[in-house]
Amino acid sequence: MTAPLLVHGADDAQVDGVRCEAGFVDTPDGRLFTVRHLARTDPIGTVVVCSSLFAEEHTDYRRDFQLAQRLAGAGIATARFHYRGVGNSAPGAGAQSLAAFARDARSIAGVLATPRDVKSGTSRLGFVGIGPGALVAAAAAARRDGSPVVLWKPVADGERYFRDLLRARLIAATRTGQTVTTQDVLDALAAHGWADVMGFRVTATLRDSLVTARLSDLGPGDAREVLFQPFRGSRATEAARALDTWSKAGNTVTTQPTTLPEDPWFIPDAAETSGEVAALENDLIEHTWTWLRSMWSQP
Amino acid sequence: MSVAENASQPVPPAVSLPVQGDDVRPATPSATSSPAPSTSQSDQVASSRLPPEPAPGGRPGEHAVYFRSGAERLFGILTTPSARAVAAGADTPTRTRLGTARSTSLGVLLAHSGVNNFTAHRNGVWTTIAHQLANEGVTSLRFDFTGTGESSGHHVRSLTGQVVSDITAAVAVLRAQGCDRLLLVGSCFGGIPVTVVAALRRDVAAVILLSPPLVVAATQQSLRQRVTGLVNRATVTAVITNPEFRRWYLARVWSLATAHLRVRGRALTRALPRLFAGAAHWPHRSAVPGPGGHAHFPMTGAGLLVGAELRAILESGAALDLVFGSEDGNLAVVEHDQASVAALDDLRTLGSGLGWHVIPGAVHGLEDASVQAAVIAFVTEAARRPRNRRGAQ
Repeated sequence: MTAPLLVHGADDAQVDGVRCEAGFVDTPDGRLFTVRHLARTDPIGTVVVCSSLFAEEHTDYRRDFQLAQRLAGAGIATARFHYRGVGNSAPGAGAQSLAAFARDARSIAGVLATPRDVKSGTSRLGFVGIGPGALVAAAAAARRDGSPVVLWKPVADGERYFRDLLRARLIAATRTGQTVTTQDVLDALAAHGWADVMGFRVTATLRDSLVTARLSDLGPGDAREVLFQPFRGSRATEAARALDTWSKAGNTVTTQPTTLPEDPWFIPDAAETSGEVAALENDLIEHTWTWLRSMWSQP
Repeated sequence: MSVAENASQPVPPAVSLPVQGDDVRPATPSATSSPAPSTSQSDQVASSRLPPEPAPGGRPGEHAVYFRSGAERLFGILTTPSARAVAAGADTPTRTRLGTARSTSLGVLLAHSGVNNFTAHRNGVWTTIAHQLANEGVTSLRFDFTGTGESSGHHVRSLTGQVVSDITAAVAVLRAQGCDRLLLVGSCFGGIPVTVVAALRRDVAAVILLSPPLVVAATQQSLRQRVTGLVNRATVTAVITNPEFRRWYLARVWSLATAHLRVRGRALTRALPRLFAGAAHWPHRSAVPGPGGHAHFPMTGAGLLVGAELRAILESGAALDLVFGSEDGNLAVVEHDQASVAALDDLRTLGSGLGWHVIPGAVHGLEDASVQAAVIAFVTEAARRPRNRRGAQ
């Protein structure tokens, strides 16, 4: 850690039986919005959640919250945060990129780390990565020996992810008869440093880091535990291949698929979550925390 | 793109637009204005640990706050003006950026669209608005409804009960900050409980509804209109070529179909007993909220969903701005509902408080950067000049 971290504007409360602390953390690169979900007793481990991006984040936001609540209830302190320039985190807090987001995650991990984490080589500090956040989590975990990693519907190929994002934008544009081409978006990125993609600001620096990112390249060099939870969709096969390379490098990859759809590109209709989806989400979250708990319950 | 006032919309034809400045009256600090009537227990419960104001230096203060709404614990972010912004406001009293001598007396509540949303709202639009308002010397609160974002509980997309309590509780947080005049902003679904609460209170200077569902979709459209709205060249092309869009589209069709069936089912359930009693009646207007701040909303029938509440807001002297995208489905259903057009005409007779704004080319909500920029500018401008005849008393 290069600079002390300070929490501003914080408040805390019991939320559905779990103590939550929300506030803003000053990092060397800017102020980040953070929520900590605290375990009732001395935590058996700590987890940092690296969220997804853009429209996908809207689908995932409540899942992230529920995961954190369940982890905290199971004795695992959990932190969630908004990447720099995203959500409630301060705009203009440095250029966005996957590497910068990984630095954000490590800064938040620094706030959370307990003396036991530090002494034990941080083996009880884990990262959860969701969608493109998997690339962030993998990069953040790579700097911490032995940190376990949980990956939900991970993006394996950043270039393909960005290409699909632009394709979804074209589809969305048909609703208003717009004729903005992909080249227009790329031109805007080059000219202005950012482009609007379905209401979300995509910066050139983030795009540049995405198109060169491969999950297979981010595999930790040391042996560690990895939980891979693919969703139903186009990412699963590619991610499985990428994690194969992780396995060959000595990591232990446990695969636990779910039939929840990836649905990354459009904010879903504001309908109530169906009972079936809620049950699948419940299973997904349960698999995550039981996996982490089984690992960390051992002395 | 800017918000185009009265932008070539045939419906409702008779709604007049306030000319900028013609209805801006210098408001005095409301020494005579009484506190808002408490509508629920949560109204009286605000966090007692809120930070002092204003935030030091030139940076807006951002404060996480948890507060109660009935049995639930809601989360919000209170953004307060910097000392510099407050000082600047005090130095320029003639500008009356808030129509008041106290630049911090106006509070802005930002209510997002409900499920699948969180405090920052889409692409951090609420965050940007909050920061801009703080730079103008205005305090704001953006918050999560029950069961959304960081708040407790389960979200139920009902127009009664909890969501109304949530707005009331959020307003209480602003009141606890000394905001004695309020601008309430609701996006899509969030606009409905905002409207209900605004109709009940005497401290609301202005209301802005972004893409509000004023008419329950499909209730007054012909079958042909409903079918062509869902099945057209663009959607068919997208469904064929894009699996992700196909999943989303089919889910939406299913959602609309089941919602429609639920609506019809509830209406039938209500109507049958009356039918047998010789008093068949289909509700046309929203009912007046009862004690406790909980309203009963009919989920079907012609006319505006919260017509009575919109009327009450205008009659109270508060300004009411309705903002849609020109391609917004929520605008289309208003256009196709003759009773709603008539109801809007009726609201027009109440004076110049009703603003009707259409953003050309926009679909629904905050779907692209230009719409977001227009809305950010619109809300910021509205906070500078709340058209509050009540405040001038």
